[in-house]
Amino acid sequence: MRRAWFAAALAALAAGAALAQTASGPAGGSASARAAPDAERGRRIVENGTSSGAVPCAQCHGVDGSGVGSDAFPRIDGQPAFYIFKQLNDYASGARDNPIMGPIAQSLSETERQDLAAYFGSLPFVASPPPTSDPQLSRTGRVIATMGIPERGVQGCVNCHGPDGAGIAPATPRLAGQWASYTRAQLDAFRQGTRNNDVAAVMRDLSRRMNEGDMAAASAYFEAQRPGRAP
Amino acid sequence: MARTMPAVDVVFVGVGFTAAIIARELKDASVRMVGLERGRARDTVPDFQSPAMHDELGYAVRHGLMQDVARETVTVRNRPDEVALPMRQLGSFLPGTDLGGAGVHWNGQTFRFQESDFVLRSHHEQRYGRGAVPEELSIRDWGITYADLEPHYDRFEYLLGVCGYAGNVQGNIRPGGNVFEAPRSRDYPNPPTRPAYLGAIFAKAAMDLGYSPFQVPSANLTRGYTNPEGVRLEPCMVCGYCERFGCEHFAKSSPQTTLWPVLRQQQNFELRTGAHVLKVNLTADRRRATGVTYIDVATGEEVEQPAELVVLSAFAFHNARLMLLSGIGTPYDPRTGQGNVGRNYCYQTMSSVSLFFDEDVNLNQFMGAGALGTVIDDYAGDNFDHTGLGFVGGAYIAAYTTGARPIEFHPVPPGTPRWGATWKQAVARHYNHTGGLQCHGQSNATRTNYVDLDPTYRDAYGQPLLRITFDFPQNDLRMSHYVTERAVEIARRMGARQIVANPRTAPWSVVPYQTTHNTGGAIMGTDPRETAVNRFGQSWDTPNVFVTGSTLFPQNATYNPTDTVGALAYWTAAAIRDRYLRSAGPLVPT
Ligand SMILES: Cc1cc2nc3c(=O)[nH]c(=O)nc-3n(C[C@H](O)[C@H](O)[C@H](O)COP(=O)(O)OP(=O)(O)OC[C@H]3O[C@@H](n4cnc5c(N)ncnc54)[C@H](O)[C@@H]3O)c2cc1C
Ligand code: HEC
Ligand code: HEC
Repeated sequence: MRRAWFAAALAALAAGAALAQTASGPAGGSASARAAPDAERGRRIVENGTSSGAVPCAQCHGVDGSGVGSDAFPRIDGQPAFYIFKQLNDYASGARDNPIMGPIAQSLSETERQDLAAYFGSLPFVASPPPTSDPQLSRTGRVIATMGIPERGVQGCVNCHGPDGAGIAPATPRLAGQWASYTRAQLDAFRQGTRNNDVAAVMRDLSRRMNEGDMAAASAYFEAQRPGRAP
Repeated sequence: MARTMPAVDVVFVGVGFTAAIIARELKDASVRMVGLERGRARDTVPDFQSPAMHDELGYAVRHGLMQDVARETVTVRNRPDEVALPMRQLGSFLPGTDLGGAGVHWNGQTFRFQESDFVLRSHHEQRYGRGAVPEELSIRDWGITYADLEPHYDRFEYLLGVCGYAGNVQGNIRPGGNVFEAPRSRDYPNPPTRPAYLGAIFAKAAMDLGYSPFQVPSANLTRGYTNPEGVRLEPCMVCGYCERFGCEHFAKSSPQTTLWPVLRQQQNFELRTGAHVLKVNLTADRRRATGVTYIDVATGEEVEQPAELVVLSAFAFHNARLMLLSGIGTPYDPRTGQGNVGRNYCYQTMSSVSLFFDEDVNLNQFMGAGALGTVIDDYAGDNFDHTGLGFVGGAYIAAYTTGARPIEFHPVPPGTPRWGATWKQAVARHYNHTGGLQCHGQSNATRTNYVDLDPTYRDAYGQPLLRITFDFPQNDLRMSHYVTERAVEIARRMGARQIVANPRTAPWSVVPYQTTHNTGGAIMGTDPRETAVNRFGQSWDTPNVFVTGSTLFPQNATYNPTDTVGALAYWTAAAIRDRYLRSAGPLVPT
């Protein structure tokens, strides 16, 4: 039984290694038989959608991922490729439940999801002026982001999300520049468990120890940050 | 003239894991305690936060969290007939300083010792005959058994939240765990780590060869966990900055992440940092300690802290040094064989095998954790038949994936130029395709490996440095050779293109880093002439002094020491709380 467990772990790891490679671009020869992801094919889907019914992503996320000026849709420019790929898989499987993105992701093949991830994952964060935010809120947010809330065991966000929330490839998303309302909504979703695709429940556990004010402050702080794209 | 502080019941010298555990166990006792720590106070926030903590140069290379050897170091030599010289840079071992001690920057590999380790001499004489232990070795029984310690191992592992799969629960052998381990009363509190890629191919090769691989018991947590003290730890992010670093995630068990949040609020405990203890003060007949004298590091002032009970909790050889500086017990002299303090200094017998793989094997070891490893115990301790092998002891063979950090990890095959374009190309070629197997071996005591006070060199406070006299016994070199060969066989099976064995060779040197598993110096046992403390860690000669830590080990076993260090701290704490505080005096008659 244990032999089987190790074998399964081995297979999963081999697959994981291949993913990490595709996510971070060319990284030596891969043993995987899967075709290399094609960012150009991804771009065509973003602009035109697919014949199997996926709406062009550009309608809501913009061709460059920076959105269409509305905080109803998250920015996905500057996100690591692997993070995008994982979210599309999670929307498709229902591990991340969303009525808009669920059907879109389901209509995409795995190859298409990889191509889209390769495309968005290669884009820079599109420069945009930071919002003017409440200085008091930003100060509180900065403390939470960099040092956490030690008395409640909340780690500083930047420990995982990188300096200024730039993200750390492959798995931890960029928070910098994201709409505060979206960040806020995700924190709520984690807290209520309606979003539960975070590995080891890190975000669910941590958000349960945050209150409304903490969440608002952290979200506002990250919206105003403008670090470059994480390596 | 020293300033004198109000008297307390218990004073701790050094505040790492052992002091924190004992102080916590005495929370309901009506004693006033003070912990004297030479370093500063520090905590996860703000001291261990990223990105500052991920500074490989500052912490791994320049030893930002370790003892400052410009203030206090040791002198070293291999043999009693040599002149020892001061270790002016850290190398072979990396003792901690500041609150939490080395428990902040350790790896978290949390192994128990075997039943036979505690009765090492009698076990070998029973199994292989009276002459079986080589003449050069002065290995001994501990005076306690594994069964004595089992409940305390359990306490420590639940405190830390150790992650593993038990191989022996109350005698039920469970394949997938360590089938060689001594019986444990219950499962680990948390599930095992998932093997890294290197560990997975190691496991497969080891199973092909008939061995029983398992995941190293880890104090880097696999999930969120609230320990029995009510302190919460978080899951490990496998960031690769573990050994030599503090953890920003509350995910590595340390005094800070397991005990400090409750200890800091404990009414009867006071922490005093910047307090470097010089010595334990004794009555004229040296039968009783009256307290300690320390330097207030901030002012340079000498301060006296009277106390009813002194606990030496300052790490392995520091404890032995403090006893020698204070006149507790009799210094060991290797020429006469007399004396009970300084004996049986031991270490760890490490060797390794490097595996250079083809370029399609991507190990991605930058995703690592201090205790992320897959291991076999088939050649540990006396788990294999030693008949005819010519040595006692053994080593575990492990494939660890601890981080492959950019400055220090750049493996290249032998023969590669040491610098220049060819070296750079080789680093790029091999970085992600090179792994290592570690043989983590037992260290047996000899009569000439010991510690005493150096006759020449002094520390910043004018006190003699500790002198370490140590070399690897022939027995341990033979053992290391044998197990390294077994590791090479596994490496071949793993499909490495090129395999380089790095067996342990004498003499021992202060470079490169081996382990911070220094043991002995004030060993426990049953004979007051040959051991410094009784089975409870209580000084035979000065019974209101207790000693903690790996200082107590009569010799070091195959495994990393801290699980046993923690278990012994709980064991000593129980003896102090349930027996000594009721009736002060020797717990074992002499
Ligand atoms: C790099 C590294 C990796 C390790 N990895 C592992 C591992 O994976 N597994 C394992 O089992 N073990 C490991 N260890 C060993 C482990 O860290 C120690 O066994 C453990 O921390 C010992 O605890 P302690 O309380 O005895 O001593 P320490 O943690 O060293 O605490 C002693 C304290 O005493 C203080 N002190 C010393 N002298 C004085 C004085 N004169 N006055 C006042 N204070 C003083 C020190 O500053 C220190 O804070 C590792 C160690 C290192 C350095
Ligand atoms: C009709 C509008 C719409 C379209 C079209 C759309 N999205 Fe989305 N997308 C959303 C919304 C709304 C969310 C936020 C959902 C949530 O809260 O989970 C989202 C979320 C995402 C996320 C997760 C972002 C994050 O930070 O976690 C990714 C990745 C994503 N979309 C990719 C795509 C791709 C690729 C396409 C095209 C195939 C696409 N989307 C098309 C509206 C849209
Ligand atoms: C221990 C690591 C860790 C810490 C600390 C952490 N996060 Fe996260 N966070 C993650 C990971 C990993 C994800 C991605 C989960 C997934 O795979 O969907 C994530 C996702 C998120 C998301 C969703 C982003 C998106 O684009 O949908 C938000 C918002 C977020 N985190 C906010 C925070 C805030 C605010 C803090 C600090 C209070 C914080 N995180 C601290 C690891 C962490």
